[in-house]
Amino acid sequence: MSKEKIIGIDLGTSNSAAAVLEAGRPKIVPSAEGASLYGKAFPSVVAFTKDGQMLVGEPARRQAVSNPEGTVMAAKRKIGTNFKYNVYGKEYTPQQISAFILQKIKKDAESFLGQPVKKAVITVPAYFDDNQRQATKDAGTIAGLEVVRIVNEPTAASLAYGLDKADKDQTILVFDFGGGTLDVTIMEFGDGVFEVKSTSGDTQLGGTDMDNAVINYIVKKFKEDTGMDIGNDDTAMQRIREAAEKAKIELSTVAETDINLPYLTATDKGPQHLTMKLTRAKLNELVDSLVDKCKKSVDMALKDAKLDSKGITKVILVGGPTRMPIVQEKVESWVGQKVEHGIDPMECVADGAAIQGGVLAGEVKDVLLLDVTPLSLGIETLGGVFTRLIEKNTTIPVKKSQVFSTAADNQTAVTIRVFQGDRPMANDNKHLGQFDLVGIPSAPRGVPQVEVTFDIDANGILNVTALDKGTGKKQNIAITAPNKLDDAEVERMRKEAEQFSEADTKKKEEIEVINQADTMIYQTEKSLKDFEGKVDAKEISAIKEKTEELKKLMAEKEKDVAKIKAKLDELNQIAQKAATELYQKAGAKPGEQPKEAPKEKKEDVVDAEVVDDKEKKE
Amino acid sequence: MTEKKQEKLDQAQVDEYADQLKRLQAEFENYQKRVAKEQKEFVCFANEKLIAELLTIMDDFEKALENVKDKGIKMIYDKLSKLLVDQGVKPIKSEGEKFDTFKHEVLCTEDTGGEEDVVVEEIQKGYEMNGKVIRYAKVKITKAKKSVGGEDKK
Repeated sequence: MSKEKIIGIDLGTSNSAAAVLEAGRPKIVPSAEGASLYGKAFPSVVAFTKDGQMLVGEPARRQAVSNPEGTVMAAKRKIGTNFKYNVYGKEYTPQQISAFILQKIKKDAESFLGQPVKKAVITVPAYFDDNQRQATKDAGTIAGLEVVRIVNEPTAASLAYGLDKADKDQTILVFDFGGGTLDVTIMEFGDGVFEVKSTSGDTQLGGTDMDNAVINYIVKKFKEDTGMDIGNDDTAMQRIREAAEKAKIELSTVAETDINLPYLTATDKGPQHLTMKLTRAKLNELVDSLVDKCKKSVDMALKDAKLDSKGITKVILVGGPTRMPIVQEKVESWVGQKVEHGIDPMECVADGAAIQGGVLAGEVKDVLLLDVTPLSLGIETLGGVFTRLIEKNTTIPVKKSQVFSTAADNQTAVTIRVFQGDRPMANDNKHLGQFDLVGIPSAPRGVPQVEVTFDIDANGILNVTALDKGTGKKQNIAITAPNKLDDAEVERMRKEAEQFSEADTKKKEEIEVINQADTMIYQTEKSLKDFEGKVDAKEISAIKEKTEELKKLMAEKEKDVAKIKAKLDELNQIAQKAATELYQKAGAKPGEQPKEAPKEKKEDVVDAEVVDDKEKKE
Repeated sequence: MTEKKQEKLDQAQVDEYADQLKRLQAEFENYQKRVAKEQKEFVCFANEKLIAELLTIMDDFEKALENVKDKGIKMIYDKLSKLLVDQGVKPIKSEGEKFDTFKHEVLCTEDTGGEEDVVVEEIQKGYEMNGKVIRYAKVKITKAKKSVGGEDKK
């Protein structure tokens, strides 16, 4: 069994989520009811039904309208006060209500992990006082969880972004824009400690307001177009609400979307359809004033922290509405700093709490920081092609093998040339080293099996071994730290790979055609003997003729690849026909056709080239 | 790192490393099991997502058929319905049923003077797929007019 897990919980006002560390990375615990509109989080709603059932999350939300007196929402706003909820004659403290939510999280996490969960890290807003923090801890205790740490939400978000790993001091602005509240926090990080400098916010501003703005616009537009007021038509409004939410999400990635609701309603003039285009520009216009309201809170937080926007070094966004491009753009313009990207804004608080949990469980320390290979590693094969054995971004230590063969008949030695990079032609990549494997017994090309193994150990030392499987002869080279290219060099090589990708691919394709033609000539000349007497003599001479023509093309110094390809196709066709005829006569299966064999090397003098023999990999 | 490695490892360290390795192996095995499970679920879920999107087109068709009696439209509707049925999708019964939060979502209430918590109107049809609800029925239910209030009641 693995070590005891400490889960991280984002106990939110409108939504809650939990995460757990897995092999050093946070993973969101899925809610038992499955993913909803809110992603993997679930609404922080608790309900008691008249028949004495208790509901938490989505089921509680779905019945809220019909059971307002039995439904409790946003208990977080009351935590740490003496307030009591009175539901059907029973009293509940906000801690108890929160405990029901935590209990559900505990259960979900246990079924997700398959092991009991006893400890948790819970996040709270930075402005929570001691009372509120203690009450949150109590809620955990009631739920059967030992709360090992209470963490500020903005701190958790910063942990998710790994800002605690920064080697210099940071001043961080966390912009947490949720479903119904806005929290802006400014923190300083130094010597491993996050210190809150200021907080500000708006408890009555959130994503729900934005949805409403879009819905109102659609209703208004429909009225202008048709004269119909559908504000009171429940079915129509439900369809509009869904379409509006969908459009809003789509407009985060596209500039324009269609809203089509046929037969939305009917008048004496007949059915009325709603069809309109919504552009991102229009959406931005609709929510503009709402987003601008956030500026006050940002300015206030800066002022209280006695900073101007230049003092901020990192900006982190939290909450679903911050996915909207307009929110990101505006925050960037107010703070004059690019926002951090890469972590789901709805998950980052829970993620950060899980990371904190991992540190407290001693798990984070345990995880070895494994390196990855920044560029691909491989060898040169026939025609100067770069054949990768280890792809870039592979986590090390790693070991990969592949079997190659010889390029020419009676070739007794191969040269293994090791390269690093991502361009298709070996010589465009960085040459790391090379060695020869000699003493391969004479055999037709394609027959010997040379197994090449790349082995990178945890320290980044690359060992390349070539083994002749026939004789057991072995040769190897150790390349110390191929990963120790400096960052600039890695970056340059990556850029080049992108920049030249088109030209490189073309070049590689050309070489492949030449290689194919070469094999074809070799094969055909061999098979011609078998054809004698079994295949129509006319066909044989046609094959001979085409082969000669192809040979001529291949012998030219400046090869015309297009011509070679055309000729190759012609030859292929007639040769295949002849082969079919041969097998039909002999009654053999076509599966026994000769393998696609490697071909002789053309331009190079050294024939110590290895060839990728795909058929031997089985 | 290399220098440290040269030093003789004491037994405690060896044990620690062995322990770490075992844990990592165990975690990896568990991870593999879960990934396999998740992959299966993912296929179902991906299907579910697509089908849920198709449901809005079913809504459109039903609305259309309420308004125009066109045999062609009816045929397309029937075809789509059959496709959904073949995928294990079926509509949730709502009207006249007792409200069930695991099938329905209340959008509004009405005081009919009759029995409480009964679905009087289906605002949007709900569907389940192979026994799992993929869209909750949006409904109007009966409720006697009493006090209204919510979170802030003392």
